[in-house]
Amino acid sequence: MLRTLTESIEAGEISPVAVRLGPREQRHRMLYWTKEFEEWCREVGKTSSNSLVSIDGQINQAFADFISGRPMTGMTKCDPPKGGGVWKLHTPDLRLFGWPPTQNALILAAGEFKRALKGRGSPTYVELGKQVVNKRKQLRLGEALYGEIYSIFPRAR
Amino acid sequence: MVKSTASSRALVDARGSAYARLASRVLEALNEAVTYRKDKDGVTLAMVADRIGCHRSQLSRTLNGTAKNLTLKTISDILWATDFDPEDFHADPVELICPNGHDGFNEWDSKNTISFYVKSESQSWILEDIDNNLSVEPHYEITLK
Repeated sequence: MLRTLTESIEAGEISPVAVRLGPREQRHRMLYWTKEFEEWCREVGKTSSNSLVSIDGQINQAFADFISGRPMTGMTKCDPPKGGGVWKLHTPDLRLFGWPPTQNALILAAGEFKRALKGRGSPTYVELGKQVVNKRKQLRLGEALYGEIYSIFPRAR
Repeated sequence: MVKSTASSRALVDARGSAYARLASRVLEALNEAVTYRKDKDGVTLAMVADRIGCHRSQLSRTLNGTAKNLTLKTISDILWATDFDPEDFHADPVELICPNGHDGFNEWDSKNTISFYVKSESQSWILEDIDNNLSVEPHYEITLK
């Protein structure tokens, strides 16, 4: 039997991401993370970056841009699925993977350094996608939404 | 007293998030300038890089935030190479004026575009919405006449 988002939150399986929004930004979308993904974010957030912004700053900005409905061009990007209904958020150094259970909502379940995805013997996009699909099945929240990006995540006006 | 849980803690402090937000907005504006010039005049990233005098991959890294340093000089160079001026990024709230009292429509011209007047706090413009998208925002999809 399928579960609701509220039931999963109450069970502690997912939670709304902790994010700092800008002074004039409002919540337009919902963004959740799984317990394991939150731990991963907190761990990698402490590592150093050779990019313009620190790793923890990049993650927060990707979250803030997504939640506030920004166009996400430039430093942060959002890519529709190539398979399995797995969506991807980009930061300069990271790739974050998840799925939309409903319109304007995304659950993040896996992430990896961009540089690690290119190295030999490193986890591949397919493996990370499978990880997300497995988590989706485990949480029993139903299928992910498919479609053109602005039909799933309409931009804020 | 509410106990602060791990989930309620943001990953970054307020100062760090302010910097990330500024960096993101600057890169967003630069990317939109490059995209606008490409869509309008067919100017490719390689052509912009050539005009600045750097390699295309270097410009690409700058635009997606993987380059460590972004100086005012670099920002200026990209704006210059895309024929933009910092004033073009002046994005103050705009007010739609309906000169004929018809929902902001002023006229249809031969290019099948809709023109309407928009007034910002600092200046009045006549804008043309190429995509026939009636929403008005200070965005480069909209062309200054």
